[in-house]
Amino acid sequence: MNLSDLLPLLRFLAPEILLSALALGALLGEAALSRLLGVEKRQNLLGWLALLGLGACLVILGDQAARGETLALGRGAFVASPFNALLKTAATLAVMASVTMGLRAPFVRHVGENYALVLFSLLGMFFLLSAESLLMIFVALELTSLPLYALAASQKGARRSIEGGLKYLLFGGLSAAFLLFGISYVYGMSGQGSLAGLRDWLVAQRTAGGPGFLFLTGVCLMIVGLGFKIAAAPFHLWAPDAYEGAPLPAAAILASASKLAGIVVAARLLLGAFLPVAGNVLGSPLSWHAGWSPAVAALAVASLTVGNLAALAQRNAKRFMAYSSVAHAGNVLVAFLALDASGRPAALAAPAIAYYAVIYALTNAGVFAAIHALAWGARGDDFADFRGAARRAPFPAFFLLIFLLSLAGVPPMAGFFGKLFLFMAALQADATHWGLAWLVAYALAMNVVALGYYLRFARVLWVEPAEDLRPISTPLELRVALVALALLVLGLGVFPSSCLAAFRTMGGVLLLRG
Amino acid sequence: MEPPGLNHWLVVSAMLFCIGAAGVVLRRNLLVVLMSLEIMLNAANLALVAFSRYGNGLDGQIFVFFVITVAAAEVAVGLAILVALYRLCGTVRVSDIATLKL
Amino acid sequence: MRTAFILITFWTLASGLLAISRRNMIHCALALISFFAGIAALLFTLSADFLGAVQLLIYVGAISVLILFALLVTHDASRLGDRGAPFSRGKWSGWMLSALVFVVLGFGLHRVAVPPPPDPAPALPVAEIGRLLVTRHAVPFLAMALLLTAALVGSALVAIEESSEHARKE
Repeated sequence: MNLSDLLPLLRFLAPEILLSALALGALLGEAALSRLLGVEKRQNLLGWLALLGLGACLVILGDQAARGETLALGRGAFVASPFNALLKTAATLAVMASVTMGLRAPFVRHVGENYALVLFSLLGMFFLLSAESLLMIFVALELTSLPLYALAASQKGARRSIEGGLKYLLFGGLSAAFLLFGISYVYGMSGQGSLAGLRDWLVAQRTAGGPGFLFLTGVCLMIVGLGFKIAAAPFHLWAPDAYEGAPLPAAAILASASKLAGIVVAARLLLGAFLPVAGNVLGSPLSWHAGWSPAVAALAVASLTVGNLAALAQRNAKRFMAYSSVAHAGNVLVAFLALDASGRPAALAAPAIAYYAVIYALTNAGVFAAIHALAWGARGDDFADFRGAARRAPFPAFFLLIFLLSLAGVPPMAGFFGKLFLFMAALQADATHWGLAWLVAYALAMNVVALGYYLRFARVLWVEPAEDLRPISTPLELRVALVALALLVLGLGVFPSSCLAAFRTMGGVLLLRG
Repeated sequence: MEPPGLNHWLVVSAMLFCIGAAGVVLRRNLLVVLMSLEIMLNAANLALVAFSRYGNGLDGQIFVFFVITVAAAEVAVGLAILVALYRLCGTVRVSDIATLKL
Repeated sequence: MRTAFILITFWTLASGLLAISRRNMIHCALALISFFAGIAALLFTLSADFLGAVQLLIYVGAISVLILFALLVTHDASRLGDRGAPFSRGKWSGWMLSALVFVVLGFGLHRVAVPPPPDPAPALPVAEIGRLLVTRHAVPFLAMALLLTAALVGSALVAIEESSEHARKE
């Protein structure tokens, strides 16, 4: 292979190459400028350069999505497709919001390192969103998580930041160990490293007596590992402390882009590679079929219950968002179960999961940006600190209301359509027999509870009296970020069906190529 | 005497995985918890190499090569956070740390 | 072969158990090093020579030193005995949980069909590993390089001592 063969490859890898260059550039910039400029100036300069680079990334990704070409390298280790480019765009937007929040964060001393870690984490998500092999999924998950552990613990004066980061690291390490042990069984029994190869092997095993109990044990261990990553109950224990302890810009990434990548990779594994061993949970428990479905159904029910009920009792905005994210993991897992009796997924399932994950990431990035703007003038991030904040800072409070309504699933917002498509997919799976009706009914009931606590947060902001009436000024760049995210969330809500159709026509969507 | 079979190797690896898991769940000292995580990763490596030895292609060994590197990176970050915690709080015991109580 | 397997297995399991159960932290760390060496020996027994060597270099060499170093930084010499119970309160429930996981895994293993080991063992020469890393596994290899950089930057960011931290805080 000579250089002229490599050039077309570079076009597909351009976003990743640009991001690595940006991350290394941030490190070099810090080293070069640390004697010349003060911390605030460096923070601004490097931050704006990072935003500029991420903007260039968006352009390249848009070009990839528009060209509609697909490239697969190294047996599924890296798949660049228009749809993956769209997912990466959403992750990039969420991370841009986080960088914007970090432009004026007061505790940052090592500016370049901080930005570099954010960019490395985004790079891990890019690889993860393109990964269709077990090895690449493992490596990319670690590349996503390791910088986030450090970022969560980076507010060194604050004990809760370090403790939260440590808890995130320990649970993340446990998750990696379970995932890896599961992978060792799955890989060992099948000899297949790529997801497409795994699926074909499983289909072939149908006539040869099934893949064996050990393979299924491996799949279940992998589900435990993935459950930790997307914070599904009962593997969510790290989330409240990590969210609460992490500085707001880092928490925003945890709650948005990293979650998007986790949901997508879980869908690729379960609805892509392991589809032939799905089993189902249609009707009464007596008529269920063994496979991963019952395990995922248990996770979904547990997440819906724990997330929604615990969120009711929270007094801290960040812990509240952590439990809300557990509840949303429950919502999205419902669509994973949208399989008919013969094990085919509903046509809507994969596009609905992708649509929901994208909307959720953008909305959550918006929520954290708005909380960041409000926390500017507040003592802390408890609900009590935000009382009457709408009078002090109407601009971010208004946008926070929009994002909260979208999370709650109030009709014109994108969040409503996200949930609608998830549950429609679940009902579509076995339309004649009400197979998944029990789960959808439970999810709907829990979402009514959710409406209550989102409105309670909104009430704290808008109705309760403020003790302190000094206005909070919101920096211009944060205003721009809030408006942009709100337009995206509203825009995706105005044309929900065309978005979904676009996702579907991009071919295969989450399902594997070939 | 016959040589050990694949299932013997897998039983050893499963036992090591469970020893590591017990350490993570049970120990109060965070350094030991990190050490137990390493035991779990090593158990997975052993299973991968055993499968690879019993005719499942050599990609398993490449996988182990990556895992060893990842584990080293994870230990580095973990110990860094532990040191930072010790500097701030003077302890690395679970019971002294509020948020680590489940 | 069989005798070697039994001896090394016993050694590895015993070191692993000691590493998670000793009260004295130094003993734990030393048992862990012995455990890493046991795994290396098991890898040699499986004729994965290169990986055995890597295991010796990285785990027994580097990670052990890192852990011992962290141990010395985070413990006063007077407290090495680590007073107080080493285990959390839910001691029995924890062991039960671990035993349960093992029973589930053992149930799976019990039914696994055992293929005869290919003889001679499939060899993976170092040159072949190198070739695979820059061809089929090139992308994970690149990602791994970035991961190492990120880990380096991350641990430096977290562990570096900040003298003027308080001046800037809040």
